[in-house]
Amino acid sequence: MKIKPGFMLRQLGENYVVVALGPAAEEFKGIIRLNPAGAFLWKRLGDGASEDELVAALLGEYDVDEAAARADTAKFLADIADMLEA
Amino acid sequence: MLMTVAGLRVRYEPRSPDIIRFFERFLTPDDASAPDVDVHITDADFAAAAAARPAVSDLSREFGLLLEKLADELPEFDALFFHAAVVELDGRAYAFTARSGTGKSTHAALWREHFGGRARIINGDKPFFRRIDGVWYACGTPWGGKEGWYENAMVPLGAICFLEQGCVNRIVSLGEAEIIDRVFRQTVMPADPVRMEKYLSLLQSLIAATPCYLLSCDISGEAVRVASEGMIPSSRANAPGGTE
Repeated sequence: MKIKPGFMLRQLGENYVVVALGPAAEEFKGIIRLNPAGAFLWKRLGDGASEDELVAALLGEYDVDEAAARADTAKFLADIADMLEA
Repeated sequence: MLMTVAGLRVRYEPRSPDIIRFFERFLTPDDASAPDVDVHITDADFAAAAAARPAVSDLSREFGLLLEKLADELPEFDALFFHAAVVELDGRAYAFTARSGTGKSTHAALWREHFGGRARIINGDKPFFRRIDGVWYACGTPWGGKEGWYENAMVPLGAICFLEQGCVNRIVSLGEAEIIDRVFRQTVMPADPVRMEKYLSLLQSLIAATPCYLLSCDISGEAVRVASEGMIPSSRANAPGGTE
């Protein structure tokens, strides 16, 4: 999986936001706010990653058990589904 | 014609001479010097807008297009378009923002009723916010909404208040995440990468500098009392003409 071109992650205070630029802004109007863990996963997706790789990355970075990491990753991917390349 | 909006000198040659009356309070003698912003509406812009919204009159279309074009340029001048009704009370501006139809202007009108001469409505619908020397100002614009509330004034911004209709009057302070989730809908986001960077840094500055609240309210003097006492602690003791 990979993020579609035209989306940009930026830090805003303690939070992160994803905004759309250029042609992507025609399709996606608005922003998504991510917490630090969401931003961490987003950055991993920038280079392309599978769901299992994201779960593994989360386990390596945060003190969580695998079931929680898997559930959080699935939720994250569902939230950003329209920004992923088909 | 040359006008001054939010402290910016804006030059624009009207398509229709009738449009000048909307800008009366903002006109500046044109000394032919270079403006801050030079706005052009091309025939193609106009035709595209006409195709998108055919029922709008040509005059309204021109008025709206001019705002769109100007809003695009604002981040370069540390300014943003913001969808809100702005009330000035004792020299500070309070911006009430919500989706259209929620009652921004109704609530703003209640402040004027409640506080009388201490309060005035700076703009009913589309003010600009501009940062000058580290201070954020709410600025009147010619785009005042259907009530026609449009003063030419710049007032230091005291707070931003997100409105919701409710059956109890209640105000809470919002944290950064809750502000971020709400604030973008009330602005115009640029699509150009350079402008987007500028826009995001301005929003961050605005959020850091400005207390933000969520007000659930009905249409009453009680709503004004809850809102004003929540945002301005000193107003509790000072406010004359309260409803108690």
